[in-house]
Amino acid sequence: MAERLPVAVGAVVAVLLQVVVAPNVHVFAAAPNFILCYVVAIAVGNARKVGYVMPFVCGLLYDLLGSGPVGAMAFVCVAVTFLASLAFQALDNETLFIPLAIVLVSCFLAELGYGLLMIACGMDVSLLDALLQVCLPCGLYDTVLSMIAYPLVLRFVLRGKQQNEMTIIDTGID
Amino acid sequence: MALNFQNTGHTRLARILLVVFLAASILLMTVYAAEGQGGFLHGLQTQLHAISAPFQTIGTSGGALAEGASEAVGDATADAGTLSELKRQNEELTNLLAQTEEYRLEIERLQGLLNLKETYSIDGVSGRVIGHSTDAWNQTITIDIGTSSGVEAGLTVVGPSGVVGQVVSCSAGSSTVRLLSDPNSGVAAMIQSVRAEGIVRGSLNGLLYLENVDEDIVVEVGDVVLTSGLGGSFTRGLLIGQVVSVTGKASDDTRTIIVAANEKAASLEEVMVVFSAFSDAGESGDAAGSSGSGDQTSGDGDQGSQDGDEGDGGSQ
Repeated sequence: MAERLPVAVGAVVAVLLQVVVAPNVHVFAAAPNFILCYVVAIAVGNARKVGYVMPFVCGLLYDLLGSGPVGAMAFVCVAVTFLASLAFQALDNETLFIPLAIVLVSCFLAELGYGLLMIACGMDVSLLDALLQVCLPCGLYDTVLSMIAYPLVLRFVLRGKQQNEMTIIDTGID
Repeated sequence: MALNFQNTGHTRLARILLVVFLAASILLMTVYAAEGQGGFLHGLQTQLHAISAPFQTIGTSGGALAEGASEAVGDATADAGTLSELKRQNEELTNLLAQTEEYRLEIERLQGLLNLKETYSIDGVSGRVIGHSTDAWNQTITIDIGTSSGVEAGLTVVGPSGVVGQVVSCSAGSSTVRLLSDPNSGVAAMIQSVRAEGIVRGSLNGLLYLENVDEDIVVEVGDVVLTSGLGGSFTRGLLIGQVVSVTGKASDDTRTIIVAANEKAASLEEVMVVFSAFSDAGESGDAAGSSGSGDQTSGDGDQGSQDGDEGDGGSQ
């Protein structure tokens, strides 16, 4: 329970940032998605013991606080958590490149997935427009924020948990 | 190699949760899409908008406060050597001047709304913008008036220069307004000079596109575009904007007409929700104010039915 508290606190901070800060820091068409950044950072940082409650709840809050279809971001957050953690477990070579690459791909995939869901739910825009005008700029914005969030999450939320688990797993395999 | 695909208890639980949450998300999306504006999820979304709106205001004023604080820190550092009474007075006067300028700008904006109200004989209620959309996919604002002030979903919202959007949901003390520039927004429009009708649609890039205009109609840059009132969702005869770009010629299927929006979402601070305007009472007049030609006719069939119908007012 105690180890989940920092994750929950981080989630609350991400939601607050989304409500208070995100509407005021749009860069052209790109709006930041602090919730997605946090979810991706946690998924990569805690890939070996990933949980789906926090991504689902955070995504649902994003949907309820925004104007999009309820459930869309929840779906995206849960799916991207699964894919990012799986990719990290499969590719991790203990360099910084892999987590950052997974963060980048996850952010773009998440924005693309959300765009597809928006179109599926009735938004009258072409896929190309959605990709060029929202998915790419937002994905880029989210990637930058995630890369800032990732070390912060490792330092303050997970607190070296990843390294401990790596040691345990390595020992177990051997 | 640190692969961890062991089938532990945690992994099993995580997989079950993964499937459950993905299924729940799809179920929620289906219910949301099927239930319409009056449904439970839409209602919950509206209530949460009302709750989160004050936090958004904190963010907006926080940004201004931070800017002011950094300026103050800069000034204080520069004045540390002198600390004279004259400097202090100067700062006070500067602050006073800034405050006065803020009041002047607010009066100017309110005057704009008042002028519009008189021009169109608008019966409505004005409110402040207290929040903007948190994502890049929707162009919405939250205003501080709701059902307690008589606001209902479907009513037209105007800014100092003309139509800016439509109320899509409201609670007792706040309402969500979908701006014209939202991709889901669509308003029946009319080009004033040639009386040609079409539909003004928003887009992801924030531009307004005038579509469905007859191929043989010649549209020129500078033409004034008004709400036509067809469909009944938007009050008739209000200014939408001016044509700023026409790509392609008349009789060209691929002609693209871009309309300049009245207001940018970021610059909107006060708006007015329109209960009725002169056209609802069957009058006619120069709808576009100073830029109008004064030959507008009235009585297009279904005025005043502001029930937020799909088709003219957008969806979702």
